[in-house]
Amino acid sequence: MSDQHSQDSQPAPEDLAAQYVLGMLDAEAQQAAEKRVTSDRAFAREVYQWQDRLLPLGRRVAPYAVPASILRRLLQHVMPPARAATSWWMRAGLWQGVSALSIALAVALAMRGAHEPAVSQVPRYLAVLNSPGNEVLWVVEVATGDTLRLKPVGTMPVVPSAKALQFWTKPKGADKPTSLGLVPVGQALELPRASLPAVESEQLFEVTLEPEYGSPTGRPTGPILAIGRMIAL
Amino acid sequence: MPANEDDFDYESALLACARGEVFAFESLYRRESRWLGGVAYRILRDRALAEEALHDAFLQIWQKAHTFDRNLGSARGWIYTVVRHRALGMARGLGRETAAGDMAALSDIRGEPVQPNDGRDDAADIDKCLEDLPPERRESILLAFLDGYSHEEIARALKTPLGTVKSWIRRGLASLKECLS
Repeated sequence: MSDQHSQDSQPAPEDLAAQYVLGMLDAEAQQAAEKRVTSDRAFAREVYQWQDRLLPLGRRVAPYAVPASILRRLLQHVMPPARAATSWWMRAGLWQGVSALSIALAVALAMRGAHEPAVSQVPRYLAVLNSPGNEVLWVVEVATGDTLRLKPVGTMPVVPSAKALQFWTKPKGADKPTSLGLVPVGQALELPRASLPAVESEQLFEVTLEPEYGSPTGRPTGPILAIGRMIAL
Repeated sequence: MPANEDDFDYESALLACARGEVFAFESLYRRESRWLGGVAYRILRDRALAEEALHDAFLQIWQKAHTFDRNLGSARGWIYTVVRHRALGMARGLGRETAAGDMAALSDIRGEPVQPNDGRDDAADIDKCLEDLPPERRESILLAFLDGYSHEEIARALKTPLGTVKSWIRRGLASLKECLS
């Protein structure tokens, strides 16, 4: 072949991006190319183009049954340290995978609550809002003080720009959810009980992703980020 | 696959990872892990190693997400590269013996029907372009991309001098680029 003279040297610059994406460079050159992607924009452009050219080939590979333990390990790595906070509410985060309807959970939480000094803060109703992945994200509490509190207990979901979290409730038998307003990410929300259409067992609560200023239709329009039903304690 | 997969915004999810938003990371993982697990397994041919590669690659995705530039290309292409490179790094480190699997790997490729895609990829284009390549160049590129073979491993598998294999791949890639442009 006419171009075999280059066989033992590094590829020409125009080949380098393709060889790098394919993974054909020796370890040292591969690392150098990886660094170069972050500093040389023209090279990075070539690399991204090759990534996208070859991407459809990845679909030739049969999917793999990934064990759930991998995601659990990953989440342990990426969770912010806030989860170590001592509030008893935070302990709800430990109850990953437990159904929001679990009476056992509610009772356990209520008993922890009972150790709090202020009796008036003991929750009378409780709902645990789980993500579709069964991660506990918020707890809804209605205490004797006639206040509903929505408290974040898990790692807060993504809120893309121009989007907001909206809190809803739907009492049993209601034909549509009622908006309880926008939720500040990572902060507790308190509402007077009087602003709720009802407070009862099995009442549904959910948080959805909506446009920046809330759902334009008065009904949830975006994906449900977390959902759960109220339990009377 | 979820019916709404077309709507999933990989770029926004990756940018959210860069901001430390775990929910985006989890979504991305749930979308792609079985495909990327397949990619890693095909390269490593060992469940424990493939799972380790997948785990490590997703940690890298989380840590390196801030380096992704959506103006240059897709987030999925970027993610696949992270996973492939992680699996390749492990495969190269193993100094694995490929000879035994060679013929099986080759027959896989020769007879491999293109898996049905989910309608999002330009798979038809690349398949057509691959079909246009001389068979030895096509096989070399597929062995490299899918099976993670090094130049040396391909040379052994195809019983061909190393320089010839390098040339096949280089020319094959150049033809692919032209065909896909």
